[in-house]
Amino acid sequence: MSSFHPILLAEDNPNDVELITRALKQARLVNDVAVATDGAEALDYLYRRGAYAGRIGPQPAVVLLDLKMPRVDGREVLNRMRADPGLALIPVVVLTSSREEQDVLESYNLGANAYVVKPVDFEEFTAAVGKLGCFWALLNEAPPGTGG
Amino acid sequence: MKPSLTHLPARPGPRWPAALALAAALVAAALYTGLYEHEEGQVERSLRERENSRVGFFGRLFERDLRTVADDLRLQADGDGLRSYLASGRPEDLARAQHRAVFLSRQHSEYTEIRYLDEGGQELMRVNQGGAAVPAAQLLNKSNRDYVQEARRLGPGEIGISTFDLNVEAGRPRTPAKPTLRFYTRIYDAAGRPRGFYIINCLGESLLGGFGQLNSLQLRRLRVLKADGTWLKGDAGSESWGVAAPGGGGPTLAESDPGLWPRIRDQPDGQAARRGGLFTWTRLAPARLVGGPAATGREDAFFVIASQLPAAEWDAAFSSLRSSFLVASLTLLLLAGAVGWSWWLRRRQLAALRESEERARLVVDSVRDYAIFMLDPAGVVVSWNAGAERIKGFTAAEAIGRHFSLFYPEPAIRARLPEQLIEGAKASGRSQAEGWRVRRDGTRFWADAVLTAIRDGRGRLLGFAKVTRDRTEQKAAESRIQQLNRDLQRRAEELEIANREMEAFSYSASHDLRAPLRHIAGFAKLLEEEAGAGLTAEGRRFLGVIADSAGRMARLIDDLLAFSKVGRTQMKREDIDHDALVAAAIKDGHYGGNGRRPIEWELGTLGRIWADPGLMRLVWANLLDNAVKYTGQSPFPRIEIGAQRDAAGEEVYFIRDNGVGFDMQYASKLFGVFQRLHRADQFEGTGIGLANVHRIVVRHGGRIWAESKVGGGAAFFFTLSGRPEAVQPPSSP
Repeated sequence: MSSFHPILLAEDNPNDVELITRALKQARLVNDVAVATDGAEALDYLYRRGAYAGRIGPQPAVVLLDLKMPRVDGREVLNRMRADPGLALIPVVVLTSSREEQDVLESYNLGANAYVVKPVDFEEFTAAVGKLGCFWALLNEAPPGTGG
Repeated sequence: MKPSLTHLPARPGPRWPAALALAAALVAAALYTGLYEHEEGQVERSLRERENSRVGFFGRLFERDLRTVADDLRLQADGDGLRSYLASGRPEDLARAQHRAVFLSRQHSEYTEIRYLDEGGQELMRVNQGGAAVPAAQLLNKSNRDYVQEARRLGPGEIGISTFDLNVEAGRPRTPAKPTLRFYTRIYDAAGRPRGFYIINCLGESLLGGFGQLNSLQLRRLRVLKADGTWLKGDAGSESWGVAAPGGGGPTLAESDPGLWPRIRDQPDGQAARRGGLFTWTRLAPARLVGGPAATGREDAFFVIASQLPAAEWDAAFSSLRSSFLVASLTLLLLAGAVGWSWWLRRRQLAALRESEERARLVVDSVRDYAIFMLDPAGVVVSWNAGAERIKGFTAAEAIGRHFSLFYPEPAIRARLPEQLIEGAKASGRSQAEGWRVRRDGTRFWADAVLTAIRDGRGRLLGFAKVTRDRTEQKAAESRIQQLNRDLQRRAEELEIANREMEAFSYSASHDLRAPLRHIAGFAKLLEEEAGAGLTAEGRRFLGVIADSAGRMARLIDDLLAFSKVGRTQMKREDIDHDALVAAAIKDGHYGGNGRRPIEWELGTLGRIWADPGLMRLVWANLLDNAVKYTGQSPFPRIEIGAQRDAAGEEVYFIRDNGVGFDMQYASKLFGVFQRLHRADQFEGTGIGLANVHRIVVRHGGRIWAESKVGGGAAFFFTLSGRPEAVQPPSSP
């Protein structure tokens, strides 16, 4: 168990999960990466329930949140997190392939800390994910009361 | 054949009023002439009567004066003194008689002499004018006088009167001539023996001075003549007492008017119209008047008292009548003229009114597009025009006399629509209805009808005018338009749905289409990293192609989404500094560097435009990208930007380069989506930039076109609005 807070990646597409985790590794981040394949699972992870009912350890240093997910989508997850005082201060980076302005605006309105469009070019992608991960996982002090 | 409107037949007016007027005028003229003649007679009669009465009046005055003198004479002759003297012969009795005469003389200054003569003609007593008793020594013998001779023939109580004579003394007329009238009587004593003569000389002038009671006008008309035709009082001064001197004076009437004098001699009274005027006379025999004509022996002794109405006055009476009649005639004529004129005017107005009514009727009758007909107050048709026949299918003969509910279908009649129309028009003057009506053949038509109440000047209902228009075709057209509108609305809704679907598609495309590409690119990269060393060079090139293709497809998707966005976003026009916008676009494009040859820019003045700034930046970014791209291989790349006015005065913006250009035969493909005129390996690009430019220019109401030739550079031209004024902001800031 790493002493670092984990990174929660909520992403339904396994290819993207693989590419993102690989990019995070290439950025030499040592944090554990927890993957939730949809919004409901992400919320289960954060609330330690369902499949994560027995999860111990701190809340994630940053949540990398895809907007388009089955069952509960990224917007709702973000909404629920910001509505819950216990989760409100966890940084959220919206990570999506959409360039639609409405998505960007809505995300910031819901309290996203950053927004990144996933580039098609892998090297750009790796660089973007790496930078984001580093910034939020390492440089940002985890807010108090988030456990661990 | 209908008569033409402009040439109505002249309606012949009735002739009888003119004939009647003529007959009336003739009768009036005859009556009028009769009336005039009657009036003339009246005037003449009244003039003659007036002259008669005047002469009668003169005569009576004269007669009275004569009688007064005669009475005085009798009283003297019969006085106490004289009677006593005749009986006694005493001088004192004679003195008493003289005293009485003096008293009389004093009272009557016109009595120039009062004398008493004895039978021998010797004066026994004489009292001169003013009561002067003549002394006995001066008394004369008058026995040779005519009057003494005449007086001898008088019986007791008879009085004789001389003619007017001059007072002749001693055989010579006394001067100045004083015409004198002598009254004389013979004195008889109680035994009836003649005892002398009593004589009073009376001044003729004074006697006629009784006429002093006459006014000057009456006096002027007064004429007095003696029996021999000499004037005692005439017209001219010379005729006044002109006969005083025997053989002297002016001409007698017998001389001056020989025609008149015999008539006067023959008729005691009469009138004669003479040149000098109306002459009216009456003859007076003084002796007879005073009661002794038989004794006078002078039957022919008379006076003529006459009045002469001057011709001027005679004529004046008639001319006054004539002028009265003339004035009356003129007034009547004017009155008749005025009546005639007003009658003629009225007749002409009536004719004009009839003509205008006739025209109006012809116009109404000939109107075919509107059914125009009249209803009586109960709703029965009373007139019917050509349009009514055409629209409703009933002829005038069929429609007139029927109630107008005949033209309504059964449901409308059940709904009492005709009655409601009538009541509405009665109440508010006008009612209107639209709806299906039936023609005679049973077919329906859509009618738009107005019913107007017609009232006379006192507000009494005369009937209704009904004007109906056949609007079947318009109604059908309206239905078609409504149908088209409904279709249009449905299509708009469909389009709206399609748009929403398109947006959903765009959204999912941006997410879902890009993800696999990212994966293809990402995993190709990972494969290269994992197994790159074990691959041949060809194998590594394949991996490169895979990555490039994925990247290229991602760009295509991005451009396509941007293109669809250009069409969907709301356009917000504002006043833009076009030059600044283009300069910024050149700067943002970073067209220098990258080993390129420096571009020579030539920028003209573009002015201000009224456009959406975001979209205009996109236009210039694409046009600049395009120009820069195709001049990439030129040895001296040059790009010119500017504006010019075309023949229609419209501002045309252009960008011209000296790049590779294109073949004009493909110019039509230039602005299509994904249309490219060059191979991808020559010039990179997705073929969507110019499609975007085209779309934006068209949304601004402008046009865009290009000119080029292969190897000769290319020029793009565009305008922003078909309407130059639309370029101006609606209000100055």
